[in-house]
Amino acid sequence: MKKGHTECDPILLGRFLDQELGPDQHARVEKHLRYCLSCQKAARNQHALADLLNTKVGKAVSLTDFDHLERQVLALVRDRQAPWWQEAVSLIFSRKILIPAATMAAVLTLFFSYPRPPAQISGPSAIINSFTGDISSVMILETPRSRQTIIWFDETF
Amino acid sequence: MSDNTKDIWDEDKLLSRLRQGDEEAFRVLVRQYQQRLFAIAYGITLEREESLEIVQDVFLRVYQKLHTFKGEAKLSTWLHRITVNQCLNWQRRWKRRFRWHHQPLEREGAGDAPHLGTDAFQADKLFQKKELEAILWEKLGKLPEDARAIFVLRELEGLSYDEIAQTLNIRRGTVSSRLFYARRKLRHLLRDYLDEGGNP
Repeated sequence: MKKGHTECDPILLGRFLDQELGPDQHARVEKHLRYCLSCQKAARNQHALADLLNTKVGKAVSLTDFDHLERQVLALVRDRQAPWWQEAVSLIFSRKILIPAATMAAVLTLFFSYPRPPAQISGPSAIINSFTGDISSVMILETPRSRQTIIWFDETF
Repeated sequence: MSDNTKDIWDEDKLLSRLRQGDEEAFRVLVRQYQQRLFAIAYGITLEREESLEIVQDVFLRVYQKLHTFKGEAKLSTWLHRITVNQCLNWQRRWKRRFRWHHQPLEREGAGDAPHLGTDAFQADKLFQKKELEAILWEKLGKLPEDARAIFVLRELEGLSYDEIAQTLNIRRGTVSSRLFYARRKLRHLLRDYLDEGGNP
C-alpha cells in the first residue's frame, strides 16, 4: 500500500471483482486498483482460482454423457408414474383422507359401543282399568326416573 | 439444447406444461439444467459419479414436488437450492458413514505437484495447470461445505450475492463474508502454487 492513497480492502476488492459494489465504491476501488500492485495480484489470483475451477469442472462436464443421464432420469420418472387405479388407491390411503376417515370410524365405533341406559318409558304401556280373576300377587316397583307397575297374577282360570 | 428451443419453452410455459405432467416439458427441463446442476454438484461434492446420482435425485425430487413450487423464486433458484441441499445431505451421510473427511479420488498425484522455480515446474505449463487443478480439488475439499457451495455458485454459475442468498436462504452479508473466507483460505492453501503474477 502506497502512502497518500486509499487503504487496501480485500473484502471490498472481492466485491468489486464480483460487480457487487455501488457506483461510488466501485469507482474508488477501480482507482485504487490502478496503482496498487498487491491488489492487482490479489485480483489476478481471484480470477485464476475461478479459471481453475471452471476448467476442472468443464472437463468433467465434457466427459459426461448427458444423453445417457437424460434417458436415466426420464426412465426413473416413468417408473414413478403409477397407473390410474394405483393413484386412486394411493389417494384413498393418503393421509389427507385416511386420517379423517379413521377418526370418524373411531368416533362412530365409540358412540355405538358405549353402554347406554335403556330407553326410558314415558308412560305406561297399558292401563288396566278392571280385572276379574284370582290375583296371587301384585308388585309396584318405583324407580327414580320412571314408575313401572308390574302385575303378576296366577293363571289358574 | 438450441437457443430456439429455449425461446419456445420460456419459464412460464415450461412450468405450466410441467404441472400438467407433460413428459416433453420434463425432457426440456432436464436438457436445460442437467449440465449446470451437474457442475454445481461436482464443485461441491468433488465426486463425478456421486454428482450424477445427485442430479438424478434432483430431477426426481422436482418431478415429485413440483406442486409445492409456488413460483415466488425463479425456477433456476429452486433447482439450485435442491441441488445444494442434496449435495450437503450427501456429504453429511458420507461423513456419518465413514467417520472421516472424504478425500476425492481426483487428488491422485496431487502431492507430487511441482513447485515454482523448479525445473519440473518450468518444463511443461500444461502439465502444471493440470496438476494445479488436482491440487485445487484437494484444497477445495478442505473448505467448509457451506463456504464451498457459495464459492461454486459464484464462480461456476456466476450468481449474484442476492441470488446466492435467496438460493441458500441466508443473508447477503453472510454470502459476502463466506465468499471472502473461502477465497482467502484457498489462496492461502494454494500460496505455493499461484505465482507472483497471479497466474497458475
